[in-house]
Amino acid sequence: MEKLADFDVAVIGAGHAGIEAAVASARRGCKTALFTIALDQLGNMPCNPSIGGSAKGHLVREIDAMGGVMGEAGDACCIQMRMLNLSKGVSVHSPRAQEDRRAYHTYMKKLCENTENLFIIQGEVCDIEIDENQSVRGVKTRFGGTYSCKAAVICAGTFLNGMVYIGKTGESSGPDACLPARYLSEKLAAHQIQLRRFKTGTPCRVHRRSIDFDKLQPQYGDPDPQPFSFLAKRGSLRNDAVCYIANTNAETHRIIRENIGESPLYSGMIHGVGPRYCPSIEDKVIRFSDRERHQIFVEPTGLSTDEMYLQGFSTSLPEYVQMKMMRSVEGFEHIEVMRPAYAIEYDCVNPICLLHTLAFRDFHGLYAAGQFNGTSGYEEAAAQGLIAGINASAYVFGQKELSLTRKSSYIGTLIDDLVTKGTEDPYRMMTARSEYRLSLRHSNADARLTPIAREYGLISDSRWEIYCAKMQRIEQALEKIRMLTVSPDAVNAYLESVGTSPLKQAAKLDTIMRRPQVAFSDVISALNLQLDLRGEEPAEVSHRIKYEQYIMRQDQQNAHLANLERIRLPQDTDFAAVHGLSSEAVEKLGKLRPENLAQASRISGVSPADVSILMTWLKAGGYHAE
Amino acid sequence: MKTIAAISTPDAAGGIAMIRISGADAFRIAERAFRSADGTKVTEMRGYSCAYGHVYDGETVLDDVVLTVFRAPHSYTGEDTVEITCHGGIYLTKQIILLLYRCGAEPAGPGEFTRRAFENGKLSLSQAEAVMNVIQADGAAALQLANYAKDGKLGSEMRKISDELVDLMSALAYWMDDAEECPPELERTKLSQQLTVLHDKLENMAQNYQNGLVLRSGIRTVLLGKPNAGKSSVMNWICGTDRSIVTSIAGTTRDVITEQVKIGEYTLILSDTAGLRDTDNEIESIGISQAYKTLEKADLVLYVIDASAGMDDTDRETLDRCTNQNVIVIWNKNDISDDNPPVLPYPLISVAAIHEDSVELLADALRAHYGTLTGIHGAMPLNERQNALICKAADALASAVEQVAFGAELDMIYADLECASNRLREIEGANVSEDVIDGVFSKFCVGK
Repeated sequence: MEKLADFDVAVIGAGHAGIEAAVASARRGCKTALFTIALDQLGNMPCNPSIGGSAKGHLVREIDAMGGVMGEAGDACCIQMRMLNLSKGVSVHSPRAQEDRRAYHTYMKKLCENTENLFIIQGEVCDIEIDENQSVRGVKTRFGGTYSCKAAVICAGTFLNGMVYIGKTGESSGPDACLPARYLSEKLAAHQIQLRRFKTGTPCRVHRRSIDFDKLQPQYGDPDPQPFSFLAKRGSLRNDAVCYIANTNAETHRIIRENIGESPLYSGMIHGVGPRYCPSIEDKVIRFSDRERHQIFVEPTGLSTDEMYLQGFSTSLPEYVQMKMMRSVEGFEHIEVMRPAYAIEYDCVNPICLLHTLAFRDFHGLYAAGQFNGTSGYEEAAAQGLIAGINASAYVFGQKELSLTRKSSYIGTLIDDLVTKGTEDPYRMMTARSEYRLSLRHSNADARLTPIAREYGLISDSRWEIYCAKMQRIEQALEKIRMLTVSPDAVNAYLESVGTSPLKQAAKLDTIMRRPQVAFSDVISALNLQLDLRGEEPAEVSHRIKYEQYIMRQDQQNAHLANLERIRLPQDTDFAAVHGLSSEAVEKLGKLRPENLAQASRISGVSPADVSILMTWLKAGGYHAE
Repeated sequence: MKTIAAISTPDAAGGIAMIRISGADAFRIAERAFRSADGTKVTEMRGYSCAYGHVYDGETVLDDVVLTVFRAPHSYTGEDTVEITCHGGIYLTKQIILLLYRCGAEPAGPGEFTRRAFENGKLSLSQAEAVMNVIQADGAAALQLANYAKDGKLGSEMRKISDELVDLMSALAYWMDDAEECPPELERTKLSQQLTVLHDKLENMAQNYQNGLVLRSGIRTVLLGKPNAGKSSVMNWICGTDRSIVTSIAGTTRDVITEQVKIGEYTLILSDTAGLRDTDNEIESIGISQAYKTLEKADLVLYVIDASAGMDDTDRETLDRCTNQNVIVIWNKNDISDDNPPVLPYPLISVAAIHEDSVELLADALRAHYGTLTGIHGAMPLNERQNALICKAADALASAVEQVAFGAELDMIYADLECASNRLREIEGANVSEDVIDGVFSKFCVGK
């Protein structure tokens, strides 16, 4: 059949993963197609109208540091910004923004339209053409469009064989009343790609005028909000939207318990595995029966609409039960529902069939990102999309592909978790998942990742200059501080004013700064010290000093892993021939084909003794080769 | 690469034993524990050369040994290596290996010396399979040990502590990660208490390990008391010989005399010491200071009081020094005294040692203190490597408690917990971070 066009890279799905993949690929010079079932839903937020949050905010800043687009769009369409976890240590501070979701869609659509080499096409991809060498050759859309391509990135989100459930009624559907993708799963299965079912859910949207806000507790944006993007100016964010907190009560819980049989989850209609971190309200009530109430966050979905999102109230109970339980909540007595809550079940892949580059290990030029890989959340999706897009284009160019280490980033941690451990439920990023937590601050994402992205052509010369100048200012300030010894006279008045012991003799400034009571900016001004630092930089310098010794300890802790990371396992290793490995280890290693011993050590079923044996075996092979 | 150390001879009593240290810091670590008789420094010794000298723990001699130096690459592992040949005996060799850990060595993993030899090209390819068999065997033994640890009494206690720690970490992880539901503020004093409890449990386990060692290899016992309190006659009563000179001239026993003696089911390694008093006699005062040093290393103090003279401040002061030891007071010469024994916070035996034949009184006091040997023996699944890991976990928790008090941020404190938890889980080879994540989801109602 005649091809409609020839592309280098085809991206299937224009959600948060697909956009990052397509933009990165196009910016790197690949002729890239971005396919979507509904062009009006490009960059849609079918669930929460927000970006960021604990650990997710880290991901957004990492995406931005690597030249991705989620951060800039998030800043441009922000209507309220808050920094979370302020009382819990800087490594877990995380920015979170309420977004105007229609504005976000429009921004992203415009951004894609204005990207050179990027072609947006509405159409349901129903097949990926793969030749006898297991190489990607092209894609087909449902109405007969055929396109050639050298690489394809599957970012199908929750669309594959999507089934929406409300009560006991199930309907074939994508999210937000889109058409589902009904054909691709079958073709993937024909290529021996094993799929499974996951589910997720979303709460009601209600009309603003029907809520009695006097009975709810308001929640405002930060006074001086921190943008996501390292390029954004502080003070540039729109930040005037208000969120509200409501609470469920005993009556709400009674209604839920009474009607639990009506839930498709509890009646066994849905078999898909739901996210543990984001349980439906009926899950919360049943599993945590001792809790007297659960919070509901009432969030505006944009400035051009009165639709309000009820975070924490996701459910798949029938609409009449939804209405009953909502009206039992104080402030919701007269609630008007605009869109009911629903659960959605979809096909996805077990990510252990992927490499750290997000390429399928058994194919050439086939990549996957986002919810299709078993994750949950816009930020997790976008992070993977960026890496998959970089690597699909690197594959086309015959360049070395990028895989980020756990130590470098939450993105690296996310992907390593997915491809070495797999996931049994929709995976959400958490700071507790990283053993390098203390060094992975949102504020140093640029220092960690911008140089890597620069190598892959995603950082423009002007951005690179800005970055280098910033790093230089930080290094100079650090050097100045580390060299400085302070006399008791100069600082004791300040120290006593914050309730910490005065100096008896001169001390190094950095050691003084490590005291918890000492605030960086205050001690700098007490000493009248001139530092050339701008914007976020003083905070960053402060963190570097205050966390230095903790990070050294953290790295010592992980030194053993870092060593294992350096020992590579040949991809053609016949594990059955390695004398002494347990049979479980042989099976798991054969299936997952870890790239190095650190990855091998993280696979469940591979014991430390197995790792020892592998190490010895590798050495033996090395001597043999000599 | 870490510098590792292990006892290379079987874990059993024998004439001599050998301890091997291998790695870049081997010489420096050995230097910290060893003083040669002729003043040669370990770091300056040539490869394949030996030195005779003593292993010192601080100022106390643990043993006289022969130390052999192998310089990289001319050693078994291909690394700088020190081999210490010491006297056999489970207790002694363990004391030396624990000392080496304190000096900076890490416990060697299963087959680690062999593995290093292999990695450094010291073993030929034809030996590969043999090596693998060794590691496999060691691995199997380690696994067996880990399984034993899971089933054993102390082992299950360790698991309990480890689980409690993971629970606590889950709570913290939840608190750090669940910003939306705004869980209640964390109380630092409560956290500190919880950490202290866990720390104390680990310390206690390490102590049990010591007790277990003590019971298996002999209770280091020191006889203390003022001059002429009758220590030597107590020694003779316990040993049943005239090993110490019994005279009535105060200060006769000037050096430390050691005897190994069985009392009931217990083995005592018994040291008689110089009588404790202020003295101008130089030799005697050396004896007294040696007595105090012996005291520091002792597990048990038998404190002898002359019933006819009664108890005085010197006795009280000396007893106050015995904070790290178990104490049994021997109220001696009760045949020539009408006084009632003093009320003390220690077990007390009233005896006329010079006339007494049976040591059952002492055996009963030991039983009251140490329990029956079999009971504790059965609950001793720890090896010294596991014990070292437990000690390191306890250290990390101590550091966490310190950090809480210091006012450190929560993410900083969490790093210490992670360290402690990793050390404990290392014993079983489980993955901590997954446990924590599972804990978060199963125990807390996560909001968003």
